[in-house]
Amino acid sequence: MASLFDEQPGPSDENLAELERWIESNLDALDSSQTHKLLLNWGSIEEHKRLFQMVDEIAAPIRTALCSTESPPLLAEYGELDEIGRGGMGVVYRAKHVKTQRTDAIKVIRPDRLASLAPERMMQLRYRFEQETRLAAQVAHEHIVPVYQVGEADGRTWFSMLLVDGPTLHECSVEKSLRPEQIAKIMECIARAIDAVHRRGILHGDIKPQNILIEREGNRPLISDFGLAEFDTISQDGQSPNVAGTPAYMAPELANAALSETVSDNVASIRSVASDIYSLGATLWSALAGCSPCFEGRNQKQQLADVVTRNVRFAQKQNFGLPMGLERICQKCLELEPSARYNSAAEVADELAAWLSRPTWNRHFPGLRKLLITVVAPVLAMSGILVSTLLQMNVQEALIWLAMFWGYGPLFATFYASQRASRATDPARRELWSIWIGHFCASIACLISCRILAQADTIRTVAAFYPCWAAISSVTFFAKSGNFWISYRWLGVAWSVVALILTIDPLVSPVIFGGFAAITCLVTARGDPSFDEQ
Amino acid sequence: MEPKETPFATKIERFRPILLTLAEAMISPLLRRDLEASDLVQQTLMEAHQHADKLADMESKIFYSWLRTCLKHNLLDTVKRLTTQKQDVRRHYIASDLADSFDRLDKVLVADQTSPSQIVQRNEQVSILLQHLQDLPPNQRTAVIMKHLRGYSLRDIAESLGLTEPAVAGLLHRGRQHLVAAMETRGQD
Repeated sequence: MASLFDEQPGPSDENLAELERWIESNLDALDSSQTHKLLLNWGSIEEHKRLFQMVDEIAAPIRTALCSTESPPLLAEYGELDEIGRGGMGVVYRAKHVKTQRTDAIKVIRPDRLASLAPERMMQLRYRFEQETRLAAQVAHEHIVPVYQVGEADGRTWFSMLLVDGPTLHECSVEKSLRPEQIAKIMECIARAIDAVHRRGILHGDIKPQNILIEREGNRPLISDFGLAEFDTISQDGQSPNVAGTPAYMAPELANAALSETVSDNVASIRSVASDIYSLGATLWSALAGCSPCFEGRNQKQQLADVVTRNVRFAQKQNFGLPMGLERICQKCLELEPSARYNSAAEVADELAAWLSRPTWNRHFPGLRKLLITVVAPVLAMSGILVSTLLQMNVQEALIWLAMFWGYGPLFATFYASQRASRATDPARRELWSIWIGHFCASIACLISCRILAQADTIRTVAAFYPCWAAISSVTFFAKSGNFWISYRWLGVAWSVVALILTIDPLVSPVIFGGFAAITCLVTARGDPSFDEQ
Repeated sequence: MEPKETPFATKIERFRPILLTLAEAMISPLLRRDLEASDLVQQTLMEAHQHADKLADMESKIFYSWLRTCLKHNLLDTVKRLTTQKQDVRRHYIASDLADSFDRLDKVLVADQTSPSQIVQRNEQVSILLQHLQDLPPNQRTAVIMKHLRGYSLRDIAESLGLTEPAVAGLLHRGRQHLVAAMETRGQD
């Protein structure tokens, strides 16, 4: 630029061309001290600079909007950038790192998304993004997409990260290519990753199925886009609210703040562990149901209002066929009141792990349900009729007791068979055996006691025993409702009622008992989710 | 005798220079041989006249948005027609880019991120700039549009216009002088 200093003042076209070129390569330095040095040497530069800046400042947003063919930024560390995806916020490229020869994903924040912002707000966003990305990069976790580098090129913020070869959870859920168990496993891993960053004081802010990637090889789930939520505050349709995140997965308290047009920073301060947990729940629900929590055809503002007023799919009566255990976990994450949700992402992960280790008898023993319906239930019903008949025929007492306890035979045989076929976890299997052996032992003890108290009178023994037997069954089903199917508690209640009914007529008691045992068997086979998940 | 201009016709005419600049900025050098910005704008304004009953009472901001959408459709239709006629693959790409550009333009012009008053002021300035660009001689206008609205370098503009770099620098400087003078005069009014 020495020639600029040597030239005599005067706006000759050559001078102007040189000045134009200088501005092109030093646009950022227009206000620097170097400019002042130039000013001293050439009077017209000030006027030229003023004109240039005035026109350029007004034209800048239009230029950013019109320059649709954005060429990728030139990054010294990387070779040629190959566009692989384009989202609302950024463009993703594939590129080879020059030194390591590793192929990375490069995400570049789309400049047009920033065009409408005031410079200070843009700086603030960039600063926060870089800060959060750097913090997240420090948390090395096998389920977080590692961020390698954050930088700025040609005025565009970019970062490089692991290139994950595989679909997003969103794509998988739309195609319905995952079983609930696989989704639960993925979400357990993600919840553990989120817990790891929460413990470092970092919030994700935009957990959604689109941000969860599943490696094709090994099916490892990874969560990406930490600290990017803020960029989504930038208006997409001119009606967008001033808030970070995706409305459909956003906690109601955030949606409410966004609707009340609280400034973005205040909304960001409402973000909490509880709001991330809500997003985890909404993501789990959406992956299982295969659709967004919000209804179609709603703009962002309407979706926010829907989240606040619970006009969302998971709050409707419609049955999306979610496994009951997982639906319970979703509902607790999606509580309106933040304090009613899980306390930490680790709790969500633990609940999902517990659900995954629940007994799933039918998966490994496909005929079990059929066996309960076609063999065990009829045997129980018939044993009742048989006992009643034998009582009226005055046969040997031992035959009556044998007919009474005959039902335990197919029951235990089924347990035994399912145990051999099932890979249900040991604690669940042990619990089931304990409960039913306990039922059997208590019944025998009760029968002996009743017989002693009834002074060996068969009818009186039967009359006293059946209500006690029903009461023992009631306790059994209450116990089972704890770790197995929650509705077993209603069977427990029903058995207590049956215990009262059984006091009416000792000769009909065996029929009622057998009949209700058969009904219980049918209800279990039909209702207990551990029998129907394939 | 010329027909007397109705208020609606006046309203429409106010947008002609703005739309012209936008269309000129939108049409890339690749398309310039086949597309005439003034034809597209004329067609757009004719359509506005046809819908006068619907548009006459429309708020200026919404009317401007309607005009941009109409211009967008006309431009895209023409580009698509050219694509079919000439089987040019590159134009397919341009059509989708053009649609994106218009969408982004809408976002920039209606964005509500900063305070509404700032937006109104900025959009006002943008409109004045676009309008006054039409008052410049054609070469100055093209140079300023390429430089400030499309972000071309001095060398690229010179190459595209078949001029020397100093000549383009002169065009740019004089163009900016005229523009700023016009905008400042308007600001004082």
